[in-house]
Parts: sequence; structure tokens; C-alpha cells
Amino acid sequence: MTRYLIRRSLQAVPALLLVSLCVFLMIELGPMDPLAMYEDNPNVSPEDLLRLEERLGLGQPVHIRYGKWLLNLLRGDWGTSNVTWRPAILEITDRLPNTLYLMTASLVATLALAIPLGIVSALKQYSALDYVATAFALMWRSIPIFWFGLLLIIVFHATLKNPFTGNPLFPGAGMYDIRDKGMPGYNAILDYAHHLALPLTMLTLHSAARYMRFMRSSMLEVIHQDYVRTARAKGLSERWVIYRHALKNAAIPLTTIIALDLPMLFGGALYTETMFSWPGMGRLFLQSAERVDYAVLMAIVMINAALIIFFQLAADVAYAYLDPRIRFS
Amino acid sequence: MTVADLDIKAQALRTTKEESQFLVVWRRFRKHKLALLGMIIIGLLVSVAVLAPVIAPHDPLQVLMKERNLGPTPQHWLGTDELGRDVLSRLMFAARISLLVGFSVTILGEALGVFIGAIAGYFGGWVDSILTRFLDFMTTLPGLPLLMVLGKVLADVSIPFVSRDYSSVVILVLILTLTGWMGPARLVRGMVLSLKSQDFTEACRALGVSDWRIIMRHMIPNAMAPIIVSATLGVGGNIVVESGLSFLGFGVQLPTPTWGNMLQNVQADMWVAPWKAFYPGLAIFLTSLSFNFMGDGLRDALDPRLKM
Repeated sequence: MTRYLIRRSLQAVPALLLVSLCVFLMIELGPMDPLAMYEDNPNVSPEDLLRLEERLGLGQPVHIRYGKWLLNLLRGDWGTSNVTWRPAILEITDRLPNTLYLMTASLVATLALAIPLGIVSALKQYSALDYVATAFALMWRSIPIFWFGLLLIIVFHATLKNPFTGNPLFPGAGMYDIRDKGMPGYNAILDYAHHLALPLTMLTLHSAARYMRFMRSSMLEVIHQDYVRTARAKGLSERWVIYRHALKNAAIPLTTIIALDLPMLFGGALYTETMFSWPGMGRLFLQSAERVDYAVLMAIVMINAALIIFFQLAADVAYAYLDPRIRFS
Repeated sequence: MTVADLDIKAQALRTTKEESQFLVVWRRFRKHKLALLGMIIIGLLVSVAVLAPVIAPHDPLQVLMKERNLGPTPQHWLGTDELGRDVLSRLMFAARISLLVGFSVTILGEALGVFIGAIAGYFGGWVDSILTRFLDFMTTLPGLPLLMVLGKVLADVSIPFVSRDYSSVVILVLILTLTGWMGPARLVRGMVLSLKSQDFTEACRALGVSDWRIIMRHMIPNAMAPIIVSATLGVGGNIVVESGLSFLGFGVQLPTPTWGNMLQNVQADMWVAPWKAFYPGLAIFLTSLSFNFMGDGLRDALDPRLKM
């Protein structure tokens, strides 16, 4: 087990190096110029441009620049954003809590919705509830998440009004109301919840459909196993059979899926954050891509890749821990 | 009975046999009503896409600033967009791009994946470990974000023989192919691993059949059922990915219409023309749903034991 972990961790190093090299070259070879935004600015003289170019080291050949980036990273320096001129890591730590807040809320809501629904759907196969839940899951497998988000914004923000105040029923952008904050009678919890409602719905329904389908098929598989029949045959109550024997085993594959999804807590939701102007990681990534913000872009991609590798390993370990039939070779 | 008689008989036998194979699949497929419905919808969509220049009521690129953001009118059945272009005509022309991207990405990606997966599974050893390592590496790359950077980076590149309006389409197809072959590769590798230990492979080898021929004539045809199913499901998925990228402005560039980039300006206009969100999204949804239904039907028809 320890040897397996060490081997896998060592394998991660060349993989991460390769990822960083690929992304670096991709940004580098592209026709985009990080200083393009300054070139049209009359306040920036050609000398300033040259100074900026020098400061970013743009004149140097690619391999030197990549080497410098890597050396700095090994010293714990993620570089400086060429848009805000702040350390790239600060840009990330500024946005990370907002994304964690949104994604954790969505994960909790997803599990709370999908797990019970999946279990009941499997136990009462072919019941009305099963048909409704399965139809929902099938629909959401095909519905593009950004279209669903658009419909939510259009219906609940642009069309429906709060009958008492005449304002839009739900806010369509941001995490809180900047005008009301600090005013007398401002209720932070209510305001945050109000702003969370639409993005949360958009994210949750989408992933709940996936998790529900998964939970259902996993549960269906388990309840036809011999050990469940044995548990029934020795006279255990139905409740005990389902929760102690079936559910525990059916939840094992689910653990893996959750572990593999956890890097999203960092990466955020690109569509949702963009559409709802949520100041999170997904939107930061999009903005960095648009403004060719090297340092931030590289930092996000690298941390994301490292998390993906880590959680793949964690999923394997969790699986082996929960299912003793699995042994590492 | 003469030899000629026998020959005719043999031929008759052969034709019935081949036909019945197809008929068995078709009969099972037909029972799946939703799959059948999906197939009909896809057929309709493809005909609309092919016939778009003939049946579209307007020029999809014609700008009429006086008729901006109209609701449905007798001239424009589904209204007009922010530049006064006819939405119905744009939808029809967009179907061409969206379906073209969906089909070509799937075909190229499946071909690449099948090729790599079959080689990795068949030859095993160091070939397999290198290819599997590469596969794992590709899976580690963050998918959607990467696609966006790539799309942005390559947005202005011009390609020989392709007109400027369509270069973003070609680039998008290439990007989606290069990042989308891992699923089929893994699938085929697994299939080939189990096929190659079976007796008929052994028999082929004993007869001196070349490796290449065994892969092309025995491995891949035997793995065809799951490949067809994953390809069918893949078309829908690829269309959704394409439209998502185009929606964010990282995919197919305007003015070339796709269902995704038709939704680009909807949020900005949601107070004046909220209805614009409806039809392009519905088109994506229906297409994706149809391919998913058809994929499910094919899975049940081709091999009921398949679990995907």
C-alpha cells in the first residue's frame, strides 16, 4: 500500500511537468499579445511598453522563460499578474472562498437530493416516483447547462417580479447586494441566500441528475446480490437490510465519483459563474484567458491538474479501504 | 442436385443470414419507441441542415437594423435577432455547422481512439504502458478550461484551403477531436484485451495471419457494438460541448451561426427580447436528447449485456 502510494505520487511529477509545459507552450505559441491592451492606450508611451516587456521577460526565448517560471514555482512564487500587477496567488486566494461557498452548497444540495431519490427509485423500481425521477435524469443528461441557466435568469430575474417591491423576483448577478450592504435592517444571511438561489439551482439540478442515475443503478445492482438475500433470509428487518447491508455497499462506487468531482470545488463552475457574475475561480480563469494573464492562467491550470491527480489517487485509496476485495498490485 | 444448384442454395443461405443479422438488430431497436423517435428527429434535422439554402426563408447573414429584436411576425416566424437577422433561417444554417461539428468530431475522435486503443490492447507490453500513460496524462488536463484556452489561442489562425468564416469551425473540430479520443481508446483497449486471449485469435496466429490483419479484421469488428453505441451517445455530447464553447465566445466565431453562438447576446438583451433564448437552446436540447435515446436503443439492440 505505502509502496503503491509512493509510486503513484512519483508518477505525478512528470505528468505535472508535462501539463505545465503543454499549457505554457500553448499560450506562448498563440497569436495573442499580453501587452495588446496597453498598445492603444495614449497614456502608455513606447518606452513604457518596452519597460513592461522587459519586466515580463517577453523578449527572452521560450525555454528560458519556462525555466524561470519553473524555478520561481519551486521557490513558491507563482509569478505576477500582468493585468493587476499583484501576485498571481493573491488573485486566486481572493476568489477561492467565493467558489468554495458556491460549489460546497451545490455539492451538499446535490447529495441531499440525489441519494434519497436514487435509493427510493431503486427500491420501488417501476413505481410512479421511479418513472418521474428517471425521466428527470434522462432530460437533464441532454439539457445544456448554460441554456437551463439562461432560462432561469430570464424567467426568475428578467420576467417575474416580486409583488411587494416590484424588483426582480431573484437577483441575477453577484453574491450580495452592494447597495443594501451596511444599511439599517440588512440581513446578510437572507441576502446571500437570495443571491445563491438561481446559480445553486442551475448547478444542483444538473449534477443531481447524474448522481441520482448513478445511485439508482448502484443500488439496483446491490439489492440483487446474494448477501442481501442472506440478510433477508436470516430474518433481519427490511430497514436493517437496506441501510446496513445494501446501502453501505451501494455507496462505495458513489464515494469514488464524489472524490473525482472534488477538484471542481477549486475550479469552480465556468458557465454558472460567468452568467451570474459570480466572483469565483471559473470566472477568473475565463478573464485570465481573455486577457492573456499568464501567471494566473498557469497557476489555475497547475493547481487544478495537481488536484485532479491527487483526488484520482484518493478515490483509488478510498475504494480499496471501503472494499477489502480490492488489493493494489 | 448439381453443383450450380448448391451454389445458388449457398448464396441464398448467405443472404438470408446476413439480412437476418441486421433484421434482428432492427427488430430490437424498433421496440424502443423513444429511440425510434430520436432517429426520426435526427433524420429531420439532417434534412433541414442539408436543404437549408433551399428552404430557409431569408438570408441568415442579412442585417436589417430596422427590424431588430422582433417577436414572431408573418415574415419572420421565429422573430429576428439583435441585428435584424431572421432567427428561423439562422437556426437552419446553424444546424449545418452544429451537426457537422458533432459528426466529424465523433468520427475522427472514435477513429483515433479505436486505433490507439486497439494497438495498446493488442500489442501490450511497453507499447501498452506508454499509450496508457499518455491516456492518463490527457485525462489529467482540465478539459473545458483547456478547450477554451486553445480556442482562444487558435482563433485567429488561418488555415490553407478554408475560407476565413469557417476556419474557427475547422480549429474547433481539431481541438475537440484531440481532447475527446480517450473514452473510445479505453473502451477498445479493454475489449481487445479480452478478445486477444480467445481461441479464434490464437487460431489466426497459428494460421500465420499478420498482426495488422488480426487487428483490422478480427479485433475491431468484434468490438464494434460498444463503439457504435459510444459514438451515437458521443455526437450529442459533442454538440453540447461545441455549443457551450461557442456560447462563451470561444468556439465558432460570428457571423457564422451555430446554435451556441446564437445564444451569445441573449443575456445582454434579456429585458428587451427574452424569447431569443428559446429556440437555439431547444434545438441543442432536442438534438442531444435524440442522440441519447438512439444510443440507448442501439445499446439494447446490439448487445443487451452491454453496460455503459
